[in-house]
Amino acid sequence: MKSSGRPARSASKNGALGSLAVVALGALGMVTASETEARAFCRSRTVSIDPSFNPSDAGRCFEEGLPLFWRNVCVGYSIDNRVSRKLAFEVVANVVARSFTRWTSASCATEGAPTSRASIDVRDVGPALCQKVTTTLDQPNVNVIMFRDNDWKTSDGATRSSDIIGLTTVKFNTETGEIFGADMELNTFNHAMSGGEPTANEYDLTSVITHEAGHFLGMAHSEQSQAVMYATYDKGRSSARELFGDDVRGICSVYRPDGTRPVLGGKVTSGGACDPTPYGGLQRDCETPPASAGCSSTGQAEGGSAAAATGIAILGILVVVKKRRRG
Amino acid sequence: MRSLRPRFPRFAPFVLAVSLALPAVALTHAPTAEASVSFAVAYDDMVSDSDAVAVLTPLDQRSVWEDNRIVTYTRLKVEESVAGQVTSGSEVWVRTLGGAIGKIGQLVDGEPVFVQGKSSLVFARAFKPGTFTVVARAQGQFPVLVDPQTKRKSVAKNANCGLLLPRPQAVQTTVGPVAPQAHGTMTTIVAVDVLHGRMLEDVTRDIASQWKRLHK
Repeated sequence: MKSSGRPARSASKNGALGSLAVVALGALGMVTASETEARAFCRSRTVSIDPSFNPSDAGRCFEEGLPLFWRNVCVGYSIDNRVSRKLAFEVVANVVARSFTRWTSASCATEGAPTSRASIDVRDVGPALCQKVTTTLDQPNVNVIMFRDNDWKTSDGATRSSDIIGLTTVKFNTETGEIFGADMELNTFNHAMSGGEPTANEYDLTSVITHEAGHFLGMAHSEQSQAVMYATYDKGRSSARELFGDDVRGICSVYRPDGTRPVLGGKVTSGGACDPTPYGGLQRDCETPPASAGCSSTGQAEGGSAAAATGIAILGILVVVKKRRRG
Repeated sequence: MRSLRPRFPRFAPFVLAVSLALPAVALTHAPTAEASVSFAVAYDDMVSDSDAVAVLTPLDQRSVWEDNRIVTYTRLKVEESVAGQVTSGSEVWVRTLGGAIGKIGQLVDGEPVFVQGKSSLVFARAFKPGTFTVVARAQGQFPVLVDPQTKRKSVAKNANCGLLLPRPQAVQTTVGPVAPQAHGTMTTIVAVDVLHGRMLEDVTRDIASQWKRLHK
C-alpha cells in the first residue's frame, strides 16, 4: 500500500496512459543496480497479502509464505495464435518478446567482477491454440499468453470485474515456492490496447506486459515509484516500459548471474541446464480433446481440430523461416 | 495453504476432509497465484454497482473446488450497515477467488482477502441469495484500521489492489462493451483516492449520501 504523498511518475502530456512518455532510464539491458538506491523490490509469495499490510509503515515486504521462483534457467511461453482482432500476431509477438527481454537482459552488479546477465531466459516456443488457464501438473501444457476478445469470464463462466486489463496466473509448489507455470490473460473485451504508440483511448500493451512479465517471473510490487513493479494509481501515469534500478536489483536477486536461486532457509539451488519445456511436457493446443487413455500424445492434435493443429504448425514454420532469414 | 489455516484453524478439518474427498483433483492441480493490472474504479461506479455497503468482520471461511478453481466462502458479521439490503448484526457470505484445500492453494492477486478478526468496509454485490461478491475485487474492500491511542477507526486502500492505472478518458472499446466509468464527468474520481485514510464515520456518512443520489 502506498501513501498518497508518494512521488508520482513523470506526467504524460495528456494525462492518459495512452500518451506514455517513456522514462529514459537507459537502453535495453543497460540498466544496472545502483548501491545508492534503497532496496524496495518484493517477491511474490505463496501466501496472499493481508489487505491492511502497509510496506511503507512496515519498512519491509510482506513475508508470510515462501518466495516464488522458476528453477530452470529457461522458461518457454506461447502466444495464442488468434491474439486479438485488433492486434496482429507479429506485433504482439514482438511486444511480448521485448517485454520479457527487458527483464532477462538485466545487467546485474556483481561484487568484484564485471556485471553480467540475470540467469533466466524466457523464450517463445511457438504459437499456441489455447484460451485456457491450465492448472494441471501431470499433463502436457503450455505457458500461454492469450487475448480475451469475446468475453471476460473465468473458465467456469463467471463474469470477472471489467476493471481488469491484464491478469497473470502463476502456478507454484506451496512447499518450495517453485513456479510450475504461468498464463497471461489480456482483457481486450473491455479495453482497447495498442502494440505501438497508444492514443489517449488505448492502453499501452508494452507497459502492461512488461509489468505482468515481472509477476510471471515471480516479482511482486515495489515501493519504488519509478519501478515497473510499482503498483499505485498516478494521474498522468507515465510509462512502465523500461526497468528501473529497483526492478533490476529484484530480478538479479532471484535469478543470480551464477545460475543459482536463493530458496528455502537461505539455501541456493542450481538453475540447471536450459529446458523451457513445462512440467508434464509441452502441448501448445489445449483445446483439442486428449487422445484416448494410454495413448496420449504431446504436441499433437487429432480429429476435428486437425486443421487448427495444422495452422499452428504452419505458423511455427513461418516463424522459424523468418528467423532464419533474419539470421 | 498457510495463508488460511492459521487464520481460521477450526476449518482445518473441513479443508482436510475436502482434500481427502477430492484426491484426484487435489493431486492434479497446482496452486496458483495471480497478478493483475486494472484500472482504478470511480467512486460513483463503486457505489452504483453495489447492492450493499457494510463494515464486515469475518467469522469463518471454507474453500471449495468450483470447476478448476478454488473458491473461498467467508461468513461475515455485519458490524454496521452503511447502505443497501443488509442489516447490522446479521451475517452474510462473501465469495472470493482463491483459497486453500489441504496443501493445494490458489492465491489470486487483486482479490479481496479476509483475515480473521480484522474488519473491512466492503462494497458488495449480490451473487446469489445470501452470498455476495466484492465490487471491483480488492478495490472494493477497505481494511478498517484502529488507532491504538485514540481508538478512532479509519479506512485504507487495500494492499491487494494490484497495479491500478488511470482509466483513459473517453475510451471507446473496439471489441466488447465499454467498462463502467464515472457518470457524466471528465475527470474520474477514483474510489481508493476518495476513501483512503479517512475516518470511518466520515466515510460511511459520505457513502450513504452518495447511495441516495445514485440508487434512486
